[in-house]
Parts: sequence; C-alpha cells; structure tokens
Amino acid sequence: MIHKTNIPAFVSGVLFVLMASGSALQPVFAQEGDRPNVEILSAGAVLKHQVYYLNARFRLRLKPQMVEALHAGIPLTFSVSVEVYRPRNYLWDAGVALLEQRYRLTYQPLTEHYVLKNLNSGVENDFPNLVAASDVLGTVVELPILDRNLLNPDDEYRGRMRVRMDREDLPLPLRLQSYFYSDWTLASDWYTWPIHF
Amino acid sequence: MGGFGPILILLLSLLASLYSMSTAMENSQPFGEFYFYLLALNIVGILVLIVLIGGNLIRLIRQYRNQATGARLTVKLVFMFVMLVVVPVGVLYYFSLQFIQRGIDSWFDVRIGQAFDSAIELSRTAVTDKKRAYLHQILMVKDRLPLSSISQVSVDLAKLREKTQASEIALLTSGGRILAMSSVDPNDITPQLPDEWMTRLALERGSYVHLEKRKGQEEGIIRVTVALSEDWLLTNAMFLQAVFPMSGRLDELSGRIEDAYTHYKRLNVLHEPLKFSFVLTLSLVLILSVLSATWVAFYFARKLVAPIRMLAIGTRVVASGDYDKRLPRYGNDEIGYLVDSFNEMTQRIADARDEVAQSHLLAERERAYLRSVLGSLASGVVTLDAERRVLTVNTAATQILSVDLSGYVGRTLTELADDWPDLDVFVKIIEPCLEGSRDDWHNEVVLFGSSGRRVLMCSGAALPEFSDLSGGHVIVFEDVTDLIQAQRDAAWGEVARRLAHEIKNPLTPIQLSAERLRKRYLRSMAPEEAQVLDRATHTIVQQVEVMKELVKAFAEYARTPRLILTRQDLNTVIHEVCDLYLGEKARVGFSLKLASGLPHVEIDAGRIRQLMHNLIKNAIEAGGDGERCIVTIETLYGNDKGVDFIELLVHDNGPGIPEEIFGKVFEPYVTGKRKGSGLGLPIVKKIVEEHGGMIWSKNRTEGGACIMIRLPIDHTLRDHMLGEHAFGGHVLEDSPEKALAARVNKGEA
Repeated sequence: MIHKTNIPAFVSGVLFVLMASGSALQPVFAQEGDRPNVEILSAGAVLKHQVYYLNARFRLRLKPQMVEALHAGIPLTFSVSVEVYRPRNYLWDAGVALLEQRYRLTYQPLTEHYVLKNLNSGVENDFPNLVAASDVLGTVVELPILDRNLLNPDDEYRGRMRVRMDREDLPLPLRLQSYFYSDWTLASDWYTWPIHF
Repeated sequence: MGGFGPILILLLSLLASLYSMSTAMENSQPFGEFYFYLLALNIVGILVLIVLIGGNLIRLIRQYRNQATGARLTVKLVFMFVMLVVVPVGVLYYFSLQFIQRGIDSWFDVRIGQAFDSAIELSRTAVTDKKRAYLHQILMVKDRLPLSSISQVSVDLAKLREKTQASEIALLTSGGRILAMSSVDPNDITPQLPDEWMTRLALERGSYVHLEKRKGQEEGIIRVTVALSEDWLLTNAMFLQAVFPMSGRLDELSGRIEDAYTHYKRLNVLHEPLKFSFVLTLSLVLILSVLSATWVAFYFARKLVAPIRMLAIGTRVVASGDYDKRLPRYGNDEIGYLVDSFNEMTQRIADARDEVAQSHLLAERERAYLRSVLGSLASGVVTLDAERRVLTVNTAATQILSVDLSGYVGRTLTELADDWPDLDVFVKIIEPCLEGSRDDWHNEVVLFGSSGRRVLMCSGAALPEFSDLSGGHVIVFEDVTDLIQAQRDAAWGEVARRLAHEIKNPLTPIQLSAERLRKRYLRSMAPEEAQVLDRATHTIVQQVEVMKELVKAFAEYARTPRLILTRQDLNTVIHEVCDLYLGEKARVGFSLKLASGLPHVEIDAGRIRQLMHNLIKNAIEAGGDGERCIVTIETLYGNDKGVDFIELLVHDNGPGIPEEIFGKVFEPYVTGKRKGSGLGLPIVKKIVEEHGGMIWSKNRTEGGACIMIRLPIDHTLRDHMLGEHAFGGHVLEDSPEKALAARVNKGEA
C-alpha cells in the first residue's frame, strides 16, 4: 500500500540527495571554533590631537587551498573590524564606533606579483611575494577610529578588533562549499583593549 | 484539500527560485547575492510541501482505514501517479549526476593545463626580454647625466626620455624627493612613484625592472629603476626611474593569455565546488519535482475520484431506497455523462415508484370500493381459488349461511361442510358446478337448519384468468325463502278469493233449495221418509253453513282492506276483546300481564281485534276437549338498537305446536287441530304484516304454544320496518334473537 511505502521512499530519497550533495560532508557550518588562522599580535589605540588612532599587527596564516585559489586568480577579501564600545553589566554592550577596513588580495600570473588593494581607500600595492603582501596587510598604522569628543569621560570604553576572510566575496560555488567545509574559514577572535580617556 | 491556486503559485515561485539559483551558478551577479536566500526559500518550500503531503497522506490513511468511499481508488491513483513520476525522474537524476561528474571532469586535461603553463611562461619570457632591453637602454644612458647641475639634468632627462622612448623619466632620491622629471604628457608633473620595496631593491641590486599591471589601467607599464650612487644606505641616495608603456601586441597577447590562464586555473580550483553546487541544485529540483508531483497526484487523484465517490454514495443511497437523490452536474467528460445518466436513472426509478404507488392506491381504492359494494350487497358473495379455498366472503354471505365465514378464509368448502353439517347440502350441490365448466351456472339449494327451511338461489362464474385468480370461482347466493313465501302467500290469497267468489254464489241457492224441499215435502211425507228428508236437508243446510263459514274465512284471508290507522292504546283493545269472552268463563280464562304506560301505537283497531279473536280462538281450539283453556296475554315495551316497538305475546296451556307442522303454522291449511279452517294464523300474520310488524311462534318449555308479535310504535318507524323488511313481516318460527341479530348485522353492514 502506498502509505506504507511512500514515507520510507521519500525519506531515503532525501537522504540520498543529502549524501550526493556532500559525500564527505563534515559536521557542517564549522566556523570560528577551530584554532585561529589569524593571530592578532598587538592592537591599541593612541590619542593624538584629540583623535584615537589604531595601531595593530596581526599575522595571517592562509590555508593551502586558499593559496591555491589565490594563485588560480580568485581574489581573497579580508576585513578588519574595529569597534569601540561601552561595556554594560546587564545589557549588551553599547556600540560607540564601528569601523571596517576591507582589503582585497589578488595574484597576477604574468608578473607573479600579489596586488593588495585597500577597498576603503582604493590604494593598490604590488608585492613580489605573499609574505610581503601579508606583512603589509597585517600592519595597521595610525588608523583613525574615533574622535575623543564622542566619549564621555565618566564612562569606561573598550576597543576590540577582529580580522576575517569574507566568504561572501568568494565565487558562488566556493562560497557554497565554504559553508559546508571549515577549510574555508579564516577568522580571528575578538581582540580587546582598553581605551584610556 | 487546499486550493490548487496557492499551491501552483508556490510551485512556480520555487521553480523560479531554482532557475535563479542555476543562473547564479553561472556567476551571474544579480542572483549571486540572493543565492542563499533562494536556497533557504527552496528548503522552506520543500518543507511546506512535505507538510501538505503529510497532511494529505494522514487523511488518506484515515479514510482508507475507515473504508471511506473512494479511498481505495485514491490510494491506487496516487500510487500510480507517484510511481509514474518517481521512476523516470529517479533515472534522469542518476544519469544527470553521472553527467555532471564526468562532464565537469572532462573540462580538465593535463595537456591543456601544461599548455596554459607554457603559454604564461612564454609571456613571462617575452616580458622579461622587453624588461632587459629597457634596462639595458637606461643603463647605457645613466652615466651621461650631469648630476652636478639640476637645471641641466632636467633638459638631459627630456632628451634621454625622447631617446629611449620612455613615457616618463624621473630622478628621485630614496627619501622620496623628486629631483627632476620628464613626461610625454607635459601636464604631468608628478611621476609615478615607486613603492618603498622597489626603491630598496633597486638600491640593493643597483637596478630593478618591474612590470606593473593594475586594474583600472588600460595597459601595463614597465618600471625601470637604476641606482645612481653606490652607497644605498644613504637616505638621500639618488636613482633614476624610467616608465615604459607596455604597448602593442605583446601587451594585448600577454593580457589575453593571462586572462585565459586565470580562467582555466580558476575553473580547475572551482570544479569540485561547482560539482557540489550543481548536484545540490539538481537534488533540489528532484526533491521539488517529486514532492510537487506527489502533491499534484493527491490533488488529481481526489479530483478524479470525487465524482466517482459521489456516484458510489449516490448508488448506495438509491440502493437503500431513496430515489430522490440527485448528483450535482459534473463537467462534459465521460464522468459527467455518467453522472447525468445516474440522475436520469434515479429520476426514472422515482417516476416508476410514484406510478406504482399511484396504481397501488388506485387498486386499493378499487378494492375498498368493491369491498363496500360487496358488504352492502344483500346477496352473499364468496370467491374461491383453484384449490376451492375461500378467498373472500362478504357480510351477507355470513348472514345468509348463519356461519361466520371470515374464519374460513384460506380453508376449503369441504372443511366448512365438516364443521357445519347443515351446510353439507350447500357444498355438495355447489362443488360439481365448480368442476370443469367455465360457464356461468345457476342452482337452487334448499337448506334445513336450526332456522328452518331456507331456499338459496346460487349462481357462479369463473374468475378472470389472472395469475393468482386463475381457476378460481365466484359464487353469489341469495336467500329467496321469503320471496317464495311471499309468492306463495299471494297465490293462496288469489285462490282464496276465487274460491270464495266461485263457491259462495251457489251456496245460498243450495241452502234455499234444501229449505224449500224440507218445507214443502216434510209434512206431506210419510214419517219414515220425512225423517230421511229432514236429516238430508238438515245436513245440506248445515254443511252449506259450514261452507259459508269456510268461504267467509277464505274471503277474509283474501281481503286486503284499506287500513284505518289511528293512535290507540293496545292494552285497551286487548281488554275490549277479552271482555267479549266473559260469557265463556267455563271454557276460557285470561291472564293479562299488560305493561302500564305503553305508548300509543298507530293501528287499525278493527283488524287488531280480529287478530286477537283469531289468536284466542286458536288457543281455545288448540286446547284439549273439556279442559279449561288459560290464555296468557302479555304486552311490553321494547327497544332494540334504537327501534321502539311493542311486543305482544299470546300463549296457552295446550300441547304446543306439533313437530310436523312447526315452521308452517302461518301457512294456509296447515293446522294441527281437528276443527278449524287452517286460516286463522295466516290471517293473523297478514294483519301483522299490514302493520309492518313481525310475528313468530315457539313452543314454551313449560308447555303450550306462544305467538309473539312486534308492532312498531309510530308510522314512520312502521314504514321504515316495512321498507327494511321488503318481505313484509319476516316470519321466524322460534328465534327472535336470531332475527334481531340479523337485523342488527344488516344495520351494521
């Protein structure tokens, strides 16, 4: 009878499709749980002419498949998120300033150079090797983040930053796969520092 | 079942999203951003479909378990539809998967990869040659620059630029200062500054050549940087930078090769993820198709089964006897035709039923009509079936035969004769008439029973040749006893009248002649002869007297005088008559038991006096010689079923009516006495009948005969009784109760 066979048939159909779509599917949507592929070495804000500037250094550890994709002409986009917030005890933290710097790293097969472009400013730089490119990428020098006037001297403020690779800018098939495979995750934890008034 | 419209919209939107997804897979930017929303939309759509199908499935299972009409057919259809979809789609899916795997893999060939590698290598080599050439040019001219004078340098730089065909040439320091420059574009006064690492490399190595291709720039440039001083540690070390446009064929070709190389490499890297996304999209399409098909299977199965289910239910309703069931019209296809036919059929059945009911009603009416006609018939009607069993009887039959025939319905005539021996003659005469002949027959039957001699006129006919009536008969019989009696009475009357007329006339001459003979010859004759003559004439005269009396009685019997009715007290008349017999106390005594306060009745007093005289005379004559006769006369007022009457009873202490003439005492010349004309009681009966009364006789158990007379109290009632008893005063010899019962029964019928 149909009601006896239809459900198993349907369930097995779904299972079949799921298996076909990702045979060696790892437990899905693994993200920032793994060992950080981006290590923030230092970060801090300095006050200069009533403006807080961010100085930070971080080290990227690109995974082999990322390097492979980069060499195959796929641009990798990285974003550095900086946030100044006021921590609160019983509520979520109150955001004061939010800043995002985005960089795109591409490879030129002909020149065998790496081009790093700051998407916020549009500035492009060539690098003869990946180390040089990631070194420049991993150095943030005097990035203005906040006017001091915006802060209340009585309150306590903190800054935090995070670096990650934007999967949304990957080509669609790769993006799709990046949601199923943790190999394509590249992100740091939040790095927090106090902001002194 | 949900509407088809919303589901169709859902399916179409899912299809559209699938289409967008597949478009997005081809790196189409507009859909790429929504890819994951589309994916989510599809998954939600699939879940909605699963819920819908689940609901349908649960309902179908419930209907199947409850054995609802049409559930089995729905299950079969759904199963068939789903199989029709799943099998081909499954096969298609399997081969598509294979095709995707192999197709995408087949894009990549080791030789093509190598070719691309070689091509890019070739480009690089070409570019390197170009770079070397430019470097060589610059190295050749760098020493000629007079570094002592800045103003002179600018001029020389311009010459040098023209000579080397560089687009721009500049003298810079490692600290980033521009000492001098010359550009093809005279408006361009800022040189394209090298990156710090380039400067450092140039100062380290003495020279550095670099190809730059940046996005947004039309063509690449070759930047040649040459250190002019050995000491590269100095922050103000000078170097010369020349920028050459990478124009022409090399730029175009190398650019094309690079694009193709990048594209190929990119595909190579993406081919597994591509396969993954293709398979995912395909699987979604498969699931969506199968689920949609399943839902549509449910929808159409129900839609197909609905009219069939309706028909099945309708048929069941009709089978249970409800012929007024009509199904709603359904489409123009065969099922619609079937529904129409069903409706027509039930309409016809209903019409037929109504007709049957109508004709049944008619038949019932006919039957009731016939029953009432038969019931009110004075003739007895009995129908018999082929086995001579009684089918129907009417009330008159029961009355005539004095047997409750309704108890014999379904039984044979023989059984009737067994139970009632006095009907044996009746059955024996009738039965042969029923045999064989189909013609009508008539027969006369004389019965002797407790109510005396009865003459029945029987006639019969075969019943019409209908299935259950075939071979049956109808028998009609009438009690003609009274009719015959009346005829006889009339005949006697006529005889008496003629006799009186014919005999009376010669009697007087005979008497006169005899008296004359006696007068003339008696004295002149010898005494012996005279004695003979005297005796003879005396005898003649005496016998003539007797004959005169006889003739008078005859005349009296035959006479039908006009009644002179007056309202009288019957008791007074009785007293008057009895008083006349006071002189004969030795012979007769009266015992009067007259009810007081009797209503006056319409009577002819003279006739009633004659009636009383006859009855008293009859009683006296009935008594034995020498015995004193005691005549008891009773009157009483009675009411039987609304009929008021006065009853008169006259009885004596004589021997009673002899057995042999019992039942005939009211006929002329029937007498048990030695004397008497035999016309006394017939005359009494005649007078009673003239008054619309009834008369009957019986022998009392304590001895003596009793004559009982009933007279109606008023004229209308008398007429009524006369009318009712067409025979005029029914004569019942011994049973007034029976007579009453008969009357009552007639009244009921």
